[in-house]
Amino acid sequence: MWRDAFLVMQKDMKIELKSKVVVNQVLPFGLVVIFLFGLAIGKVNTSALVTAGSNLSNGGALKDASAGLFWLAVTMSAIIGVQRSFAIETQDQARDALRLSALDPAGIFLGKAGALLIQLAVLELVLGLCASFLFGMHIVTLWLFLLAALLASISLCGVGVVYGALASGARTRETLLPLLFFPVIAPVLLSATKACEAAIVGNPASGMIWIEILAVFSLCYLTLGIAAFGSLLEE
Amino acid sequence: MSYQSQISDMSPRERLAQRATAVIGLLTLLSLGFTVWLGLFITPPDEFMGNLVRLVYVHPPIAWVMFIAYGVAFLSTLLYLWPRTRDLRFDRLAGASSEVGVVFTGLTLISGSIWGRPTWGTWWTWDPLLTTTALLFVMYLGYLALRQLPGDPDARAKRSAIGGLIAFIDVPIVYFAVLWWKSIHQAPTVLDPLTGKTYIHGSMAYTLLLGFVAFTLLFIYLVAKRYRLAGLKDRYESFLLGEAIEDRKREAMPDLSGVYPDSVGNAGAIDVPGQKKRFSDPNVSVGYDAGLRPDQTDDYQKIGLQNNTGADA
Amino acid sequence: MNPYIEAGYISVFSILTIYSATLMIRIRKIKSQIPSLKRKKADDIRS
Repeated sequence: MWRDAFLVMQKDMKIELKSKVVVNQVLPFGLVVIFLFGLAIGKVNTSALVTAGSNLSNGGALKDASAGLFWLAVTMSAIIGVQRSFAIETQDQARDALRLSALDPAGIFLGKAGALLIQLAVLELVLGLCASFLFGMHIVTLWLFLLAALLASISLCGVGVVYGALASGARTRETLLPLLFFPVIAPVLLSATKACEAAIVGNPASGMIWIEILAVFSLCYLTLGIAAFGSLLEE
Repeated sequence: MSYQSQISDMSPRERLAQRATAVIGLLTLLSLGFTVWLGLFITPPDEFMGNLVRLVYVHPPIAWVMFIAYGVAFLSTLLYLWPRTRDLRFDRLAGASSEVGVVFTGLTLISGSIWGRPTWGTWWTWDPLLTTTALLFVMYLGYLALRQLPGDPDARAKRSAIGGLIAFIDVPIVYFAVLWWKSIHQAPTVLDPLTGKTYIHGSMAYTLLLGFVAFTLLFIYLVAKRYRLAGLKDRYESFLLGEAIEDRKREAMPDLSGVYPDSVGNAGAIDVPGQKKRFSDPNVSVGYDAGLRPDQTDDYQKIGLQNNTGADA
Repeated sequence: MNPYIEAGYISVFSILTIYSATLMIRIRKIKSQIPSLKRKKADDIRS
């Protein structure tokens, strides 16, 4: 299973490195979303234009919400990443080839999730830097933030690959993905936001319960994906 | 098989189910009507809430039905996925129960919101139960959309089962996440306005009980009807499929309708001894009469199907 | 009667009535399309 997973992951990463879709399209999308959040929510303190040393883009609401907005942007980019991950399978009947290749379906699931995870990690790095710049989000407890990001990303990838397999293929299916995806990962969004807020404030103790929720979630959905992916691939 | 069941579209068991559903429907109507009458007019207004307490005969029963609807859906999904009890009917039940569940979730949110506005002063609050219910609503809307995707019934059932499983497993996670979220900031909201009372007595108690019974009957009726609709839809689809297959077959094979004599008495192009022919025209070619394509007529003449060269002509 | 009560009861029961009516209409519509199959088979048997 792990060997197959590694194979599939390599394949997906190679395709991505060749086509650079995530880097060229999804990443700028995430950046634009973060920027738009700033426009929609941030209040420009006009007196700050006169006062020296004050930060133009930071209204109180924006800074308080920065972790949540960051995760919203990541989630939206993740959906597009999932769609891309399965779009490469619809060409040249690659999906059938995958099914017939006698690779372990659980391995295929883990491989696709793994490739998506790597892409999400790069996305989060860039978007995180952008958010801390634009929203004034300064992290005190970095390890908590990174741990939360890792677990949340694993959850997003797990659910994403399962739903991606369900919702890819015919045209009527693809618009189903956001509708299925967002409600299910709402607790991930909530927990990741809260954990990251704890990391920003510098209070690891309050963040641990959210880490636990994230861990439970990723465990549940990875297990579900491993068990169910075979039958999903079959149609 | 009796002549009756050849013509009617229902087996005896189906007709029994139909009649049972009708009876339940009648009982539902009666009990609901009685509940409303009791709830609105006979029972006294509450000492604290005044007339607002009347919504207790409607809102908790609806929330209760929502829970059993999703519970039934989840159990049917599990039964479908378990190989020994795999039966498309369980998938149909899961879909029917989920759809009714979505309707009742919407009603729970609406009635709860209407009750909350005068009681708490706000239409909405982000407390764990409300938030989880709202999320449940959207999740199962997505599940229903997933069920609509076209495909062969087994693939569709499997797909929906996995989707339903994911949605259901998520519910406790959502609930606890929101619970911890709210408990950090504020004391848990007292959701049920009646918790201040130690007991409800008199006419209010049995009206409430009647309300629960009435809405449960309504749930059974609605699920039965929806289940029947799902079964009819599947039957219709296989009927359409059968028709399409017949059409393809007819296209592939030549039309031999004029070649052989038919049961009504028209002569075909083939000579059947003893068959009275309605018309005989040696000049009409086999291929033209029989509706064969021009390139097929030579073949038929080669194997000896001639027109009107029999002894009876 | 309290307007909230009226709003509550009316909205709940109207939605339920609409939903049941929708179900019955959908059932009737599909039933009208299927029995043609059964009757056709019966005709074939008779002839």
